[in-house]
Amino acid sequence: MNVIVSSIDHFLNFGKANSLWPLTFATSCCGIEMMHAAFADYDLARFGSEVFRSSPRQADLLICAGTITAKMAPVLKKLYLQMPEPKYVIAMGACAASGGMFCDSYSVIQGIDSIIPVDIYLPGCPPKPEALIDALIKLKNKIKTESIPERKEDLMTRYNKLLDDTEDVEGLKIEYFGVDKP
Amino acid sequence: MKTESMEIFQTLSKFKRNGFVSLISLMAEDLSPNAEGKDEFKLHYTLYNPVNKEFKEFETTINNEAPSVSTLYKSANYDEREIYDLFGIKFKNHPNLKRIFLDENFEGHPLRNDYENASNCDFKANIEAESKE
Amino acid sequence: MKELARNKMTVNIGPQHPSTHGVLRLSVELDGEKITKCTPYLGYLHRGLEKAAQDRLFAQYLPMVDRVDYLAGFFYSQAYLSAVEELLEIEIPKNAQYIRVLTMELNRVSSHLLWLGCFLMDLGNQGAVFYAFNLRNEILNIFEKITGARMMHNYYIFGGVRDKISNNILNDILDFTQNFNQKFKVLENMITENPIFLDRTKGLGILTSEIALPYAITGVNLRASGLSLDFRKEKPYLIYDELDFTVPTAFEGDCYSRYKLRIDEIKISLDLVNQCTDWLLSHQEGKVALELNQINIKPKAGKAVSYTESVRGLVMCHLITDGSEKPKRVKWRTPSFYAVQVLEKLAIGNTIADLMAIYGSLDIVLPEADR
Repeated sequence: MNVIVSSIDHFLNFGKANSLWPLTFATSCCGIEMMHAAFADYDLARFGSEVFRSSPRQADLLICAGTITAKMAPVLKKLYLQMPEPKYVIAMGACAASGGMFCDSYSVIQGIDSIIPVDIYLPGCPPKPEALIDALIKLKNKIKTESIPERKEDLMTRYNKLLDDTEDVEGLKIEYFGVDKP
Repeated sequence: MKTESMEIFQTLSKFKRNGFVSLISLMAEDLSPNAEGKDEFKLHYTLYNPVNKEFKEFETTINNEAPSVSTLYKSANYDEREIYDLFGIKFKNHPNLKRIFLDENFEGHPLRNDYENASNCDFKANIEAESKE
Repeated sequence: MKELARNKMTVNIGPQHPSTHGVLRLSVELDGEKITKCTPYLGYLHRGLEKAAQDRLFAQYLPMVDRVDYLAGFFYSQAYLSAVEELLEIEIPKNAQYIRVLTMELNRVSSHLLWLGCFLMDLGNQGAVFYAFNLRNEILNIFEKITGARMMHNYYIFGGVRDKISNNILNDILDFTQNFNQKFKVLENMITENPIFLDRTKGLGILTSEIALPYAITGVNLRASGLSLDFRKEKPYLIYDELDFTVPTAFEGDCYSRYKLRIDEIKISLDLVNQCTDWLLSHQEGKVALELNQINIKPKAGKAVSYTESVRGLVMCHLITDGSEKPKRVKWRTPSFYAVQVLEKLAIGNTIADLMAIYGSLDIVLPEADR
């Protein structure tokens, strides 16, 4: 039984790891280095990230590149909840990982891991495109260690943490996001 | 209070009639508390005349309110909303005086002198220690 | 016959969108396909940079200045340092002035290349971005050789620049400028006479000088409307009065003329880079910085305002000090803040596809608008 599950695991992880399509989510300076990594000289497409999808319904990877402010936090959480499983998050840059140099600001979130679960933290201000490629390879190695029996537990821990503080964001109820009610 | 606000508006209208059609910068500075213990702010206007390429700076001191010049200079619309957001100065006759940068439910006005920053970063302590050396 | 009722529809072009050059939210009211009202919502990137200056020493605020507009970090460093040096009553050595102008003009080229790539990507040409970013990567490699970092350089200090540029790097810069035109022609030929591009940008988003001046628009957006205002010639700073360059102007004020002016600006900036490099190659013995203690900076109490012609327009740094070691108030007057206001006005009457073309051509960068 274990042999069958582990070979299915191997096959599924191969598929998940080698074709991670990121979401275009660039707020700040790290976004420019992410664009450099996606285009000509440091091609991310050869690592499986063929296109950057603009809609969260079609993406598997959220590279949060840039500073997240208190006004942008509900937007980030809503985007994460809109992505279908399996999904992964890379916190790129010092501002996304821990607040960065805006440590005493009145409007900057001190690290996105207080809002969404993060898989890989990538320090740097901004990290070079080669560092982003290194983070992507580490994420792939992490995905290759996943297994089907542990999947339910992993999902429950991630969503229990998220659903604990849904009163912060109106993401799960129907909401006229930014639009005036008719 | 009324005479003061009329003066600011009239001075800027006079400048506009003399050719200073562009308000390129509007800055506010917090000088509170003043000698009587009340709020005091200073507004700095910078005007530009494209015909003879001249700049003019105009400063005025106010308490908590000022007249809006957005009917004279369109760029003042966003400038005054920013000053209302960060300092709490209300501009009379402004078409849309709402917060522009911060969330609508944010309490307080950050750039005032009496705003307590609720961050738990011990950054300030380090500066005091370093600057004494 | 009963007339069908028509309602207006509101569409939200949200903070996360492939076309926004930063996180700007536009709430657009449509009547059929034409826009009747466009409301921008700023503040999704408001980091509190002006408040941060009040708790930091002058030298501790300097790295944050690079991040006010990350595509033009050198210009903002120059604006801040110019205000502080005016209050310190010092003048930086000539070599440092030439190095500052050299790096600023290279920065202008790299920012315009990024603008070009993103503008074309918004219009639908997703192949041109690769050429533009390839060229921009070469400039960032040169910056890495000079300053150690690709984007946030932290290279200007009080009294000059950190280190002189060696002859090897200056020769690399000359190689780059000499090979640039040939590579850029590949991109330019794809775009400038392309009938799809001309259809999408000619006659669109016309900004006349009667509209632009009350909205305090400066920079390329104003020069495309016929008014020749460039602060490198109006209030010359550093050694711009010794350099030889022209300021191109156009008169139609539509998206196409703003595009054409920025292409011309790239070529003029590279000519300025050549002039500075030639001067530096023959004057390598000079000092590049005054001997100042960078931490113990205490300018006299007062107010200083510096004017810098940055990539997108006029940048003013208002600095108010009170004699202590921390600034009392720093205010940035940034050009994109006013360009967002003008976008509100120019969008009316166009379709959403045209709105993206106008938005791209105004070159709005949100960190500058939100600070």
